[in-house]
Amino acid sequence: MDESLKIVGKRVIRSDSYAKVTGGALYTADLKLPGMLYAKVLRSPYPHAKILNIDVSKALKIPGVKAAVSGFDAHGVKWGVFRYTQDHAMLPTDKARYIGEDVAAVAAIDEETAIEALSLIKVEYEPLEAVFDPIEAMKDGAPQIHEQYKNNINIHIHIEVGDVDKAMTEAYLIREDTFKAAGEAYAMMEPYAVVASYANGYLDLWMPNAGPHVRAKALSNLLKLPLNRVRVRHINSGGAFGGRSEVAPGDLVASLLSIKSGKPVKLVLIREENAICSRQVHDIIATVKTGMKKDGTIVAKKYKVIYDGGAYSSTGPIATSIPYYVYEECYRLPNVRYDGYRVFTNKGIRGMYGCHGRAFLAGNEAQMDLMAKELGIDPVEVRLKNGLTAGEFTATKSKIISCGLRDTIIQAAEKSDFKKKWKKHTRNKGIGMGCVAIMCGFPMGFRSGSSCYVKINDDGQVTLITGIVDNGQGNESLAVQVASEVLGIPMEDINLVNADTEVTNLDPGAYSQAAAYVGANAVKAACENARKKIIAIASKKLGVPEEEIDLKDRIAYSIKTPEKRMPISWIAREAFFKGEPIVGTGSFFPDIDLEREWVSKPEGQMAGTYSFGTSVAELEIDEETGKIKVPKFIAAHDCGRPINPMAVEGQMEGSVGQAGIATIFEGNIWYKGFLLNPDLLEYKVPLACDMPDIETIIVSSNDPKGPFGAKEGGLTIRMNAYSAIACAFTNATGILFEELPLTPDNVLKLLEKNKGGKR
Amino acid sequence: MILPKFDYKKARTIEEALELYNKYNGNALYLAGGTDLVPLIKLRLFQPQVVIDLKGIDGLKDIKKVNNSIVVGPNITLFELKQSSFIKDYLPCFFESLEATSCETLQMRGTIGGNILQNTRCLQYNKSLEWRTARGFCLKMGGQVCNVLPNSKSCFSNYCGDNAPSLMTLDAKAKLVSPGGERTVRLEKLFSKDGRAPFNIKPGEILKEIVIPLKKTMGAYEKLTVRGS
Repeated sequence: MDESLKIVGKRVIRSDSYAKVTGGALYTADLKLPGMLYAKVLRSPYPHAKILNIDVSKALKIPGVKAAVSGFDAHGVKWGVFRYTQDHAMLPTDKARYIGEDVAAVAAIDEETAIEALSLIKVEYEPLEAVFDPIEAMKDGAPQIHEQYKNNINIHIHIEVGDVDKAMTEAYLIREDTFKAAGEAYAMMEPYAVVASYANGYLDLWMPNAGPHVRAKALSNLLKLPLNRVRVRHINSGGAFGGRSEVAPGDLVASLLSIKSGKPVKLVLIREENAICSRQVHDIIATVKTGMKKDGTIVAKKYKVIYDGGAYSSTGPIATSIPYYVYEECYRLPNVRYDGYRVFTNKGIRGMYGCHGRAFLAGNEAQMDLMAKELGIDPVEVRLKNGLTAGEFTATKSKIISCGLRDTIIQAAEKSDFKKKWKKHTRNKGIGMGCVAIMCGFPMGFRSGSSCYVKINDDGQVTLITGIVDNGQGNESLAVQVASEVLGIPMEDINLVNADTEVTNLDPGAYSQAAAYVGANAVKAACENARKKIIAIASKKLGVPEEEIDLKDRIAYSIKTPEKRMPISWIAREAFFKGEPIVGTGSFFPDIDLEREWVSKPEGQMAGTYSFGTSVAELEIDEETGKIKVPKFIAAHDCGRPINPMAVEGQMEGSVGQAGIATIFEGNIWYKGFLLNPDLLEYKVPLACDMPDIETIIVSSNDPKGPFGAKEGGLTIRMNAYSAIACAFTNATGILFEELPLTPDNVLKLLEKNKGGKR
Repeated sequence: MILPKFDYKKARTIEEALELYNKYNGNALYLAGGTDLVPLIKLRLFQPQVVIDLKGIDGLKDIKKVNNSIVVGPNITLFELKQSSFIKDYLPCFFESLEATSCETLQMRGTIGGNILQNTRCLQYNKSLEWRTARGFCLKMGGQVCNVLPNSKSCFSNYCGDNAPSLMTLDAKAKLVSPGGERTVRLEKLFSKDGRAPFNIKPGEILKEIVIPLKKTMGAYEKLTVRGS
C-alpha cells in the first residue's frame, strides 16, 4: 500500500452526505418550474389486447387540461438497447402487452384535474389471449407477444466451451438440480419521477437515472430530435439498483406532453405504479448440471436457464448473460454449455438488477457444497480448489488481472470459524458460504470509456466535470476524493458538475460497476494533467525542480525544503495572467475486446478488471413455523484499494440486506398478469430489526490499472449473499432449496417433502 | 397518491360528531389516528363526502379506574398506552399486543379505538382503483365474486388488528354511542364474521370506551410475522 496517500483510502465523510441527512438534497419530485403542469398516465387494464382506437378529445375539453397524448402522437419509433431488440414504443399503438402499460396521458394544471381527465380518455381494446408462464410461452401455439420473436423467445444466449458431454462421462460425480426464484422488486426509496421542459426547440429533462447519455440518445431517437436538443440534467437519485439504466415510458410521456403544451410537465409515479410499470426483476428457472472429479475439481457445467422477461426486451441480452458470467469469472470451468433463454410473457418489463440471478448463483453454490460434502470436502476447500487466480482466463477467454478471491474466502472463513461450525452444526442451524466475481464495467461499445475535465479557478478552488453518475452509492464523492488526492486540494474546495448531457462527456453510467474503475480513472488522468501544469509554474516560481514539488492542503511546496512553498491559488492566478488557465482533460477506456457481443460472439476480454467477494451467513430455522433467522453475516470483498473504506462497507452492508436477508422475504407474487404485492406493506423489504450482526472485511488486491489500485466497491456481496443463505440452509437441513424466497411456507414445504430423508 | 376531495370537520363533542353524521346523511367517515383510514381513502376504497375528526373530543383520551374496571378512551394512542405501568403490570397480554403493533412511529399516531375498528385487508382489495377496476370488483367492493376463491360466497379478507384478540382474552367490553343512545357489548360481539363489513356497528355509532375488568392477569401475546416488525 502506498502510505504517501493523503485522502484516498481514508474514511472520509461523503461529499453528498450533509445535504442528504439534513433534507436539503432535492429530488425530481421536489422540482417546481414556472407554469409547470402535472401529468397522469392511463394504463392498460388488459394483459394482452389489440388497441383499436384511442380518443383523447373529451379529456382535452376539461378546464385546466393542457395536453393529452397517446402513441399516435409519437413518431412510431421503437427503442431497443441493441439493434436487434428494438421493440419498445413506450406508448404502444398496436397492442398493450401487460397490465399497467402506458397507453395515454394528460397534463393539467393540477393532479386532481389530470386524474379526472384520465377517466374521459376512451380506448377501444380487443382483448387477446395472454400468457404468463415462460414455459407455456415457449410452446408452439402460445399467444405471440411480439411477431418477430418466435415462440416468444426474446434472447437465446448459447455458450459452448470445451467438450461438455465428454467431460460429463468422465466425471466422478454428477448432479443435476433445478432452482427457481421469484422476481424481486427494486423498491427504490424514490418512486419514479420525471420533469420535462420543452422551449425554443430544446428539451430539458430531470429524472433519477443511471446513465443520462444513453437516456438522451433514446429520447432523441423516440422524439426525432437532434441529440443536442435533448438535455438530461443532473438531479439526486433515490436509488436505482439497475432498474433505472434505460429510458422509461414516463420520459417519453412527459416529453410529448411538454412539447404539446409548451409548458414544463412533471410526472410522479405512485408506489404501485413504480412496482408495476417501471421495471421488475426476472423470475428465473435454472437447471444446473455439474460434473466433478473425485478431488472436488469441477470438470463440466451444463446449464439451461429460463428468464421470465415480461413484455419487452429491455436489457435482455445482458440480463440473460450476467448470472453466468459472474460465475465463470469466479471459478475455473473447463467445459461449459450455457443456454439462457429470455422469454416474453404478458407481465411488466424486467430489467437488470444489482442482485440479479439468485436462482442460478445460489443454485450453483448450494449444489457444489452438497457434491463436495459427498466427496468429503468442505465448502472452503472446494472454493479454494476451483477459484480463479490472477493471470488465469475465464471460460470465455477473459483474463483475470488482479484477484483477491482466495483472501476473501480464507478471511471470511477464519472470522466466522467456518470449518468448525460447518462440520459440527446442530439441527436446524447452519452456516454457508457464497462466492462470486464482478466485472468492473460491461462492454458497451464506444460508451465503455469515460472522460473528465477539470479547471482550477482564480481562488484556487476546483471545478470537476465528469459523466460519473451517482444513484446513492457514493460515486460523486468518489470522484471528488480522487481529484482531491491528485491536486492536493481539500474535498470541500472541489465543486462537482456531473451527469448532465450538455456539459459532460460520454460515460458508462452507474449500472455496470464502472464508476470506480473507469470513471475515477478518467478523473485521475484529468487531474494529473492539471497537476503537471500547477507544478510547472510552481517550479519556476519557487526555483525548485519539478520532481521535488508536491501539492498538499492547497499548497505547492518543495519536498526537500518545505519552507519553499506557495498557495495553489497564486499559481492559478499566475496561469490566468499568462493567458493559460490551468485546465486538465483526461480519459480512460478499459482494455476490453470490442468484438465481443452478448449473443453473436460471447468470447474475449469482458472487462478491464474484476472484483471478488465471499459472504458467510449463519442461519437458524424454526422447524415448527418454517421461519428463518439470520443472526450473523460476514462479508469479505476485494475492491482493489478502497478509495473510501466507509463507503465500501456501506455498500456491503446494504447488499447483505438487499440480497441476503431478501432471500427469506422478497419476491413478487402474481395472479395471472396482476402483481399482488406492488406496495411496501405486502412486499417485504428487510427492516432494521431484521438485519443480522454484520462484519465486513475489505481485501485489497491493489489492481494494477485501477485508480490508486481501486476496483468496484461492494457489488460482489449483492450477488453472493443469497448463496451464503442458500448454502447455510443446505448445511442446516442437508437438502437444497428449490425456490426463493425461503419464506416460512416454502421452508415448511421443503422440510415436509424431505421428512425421513437424510437430515 | 393524492386524496380525493372531501369536507373535513373536527367535532368537539360526541353529540357534535353525531349531528355532523346526520347532516351529511351518513356519507361520512370518522377519523382518529388515520393510519388505517387515510390509505383506504387514498386508494378510493372509500369516497366519503365528509371526514369527521374525533381527535378533538374531550373525554375520549382518558384512562381511568371506574369501580372494578379500567376504562380506556379510544383516542389514546398505542404508544401512550404502552407507557401505562398499570397495563404493563396488570394486563401483560395487552401490553405485548400493543408492543407487537406495527412500529413505534405508527404507534404514536394510531389510536386504540382505530386499531380495534380497523378494516379487514386482502391482497386483492387494498389496491388502487385502477388496479381493482382492471381485476374486477370483488365481494368486499360490491362485486359478485371473491377474487381469492372465485367460487366462494364469503369474503376472505383478514382482520389484522393485534389488540382486539388480547383484549378479548381480558373480557373487555366496548361502549358505543349512537343517536339512539348508548350500549355496551362484549368485544367479540363487535365482530360480524363477514369480511365485507367486519363490524356489528350501527350507522353513525361511535366507540366511546373500552372497558377492561380491573384485576391482575397473566398472559402473553406472540405474533408470527415474516419480518421483525
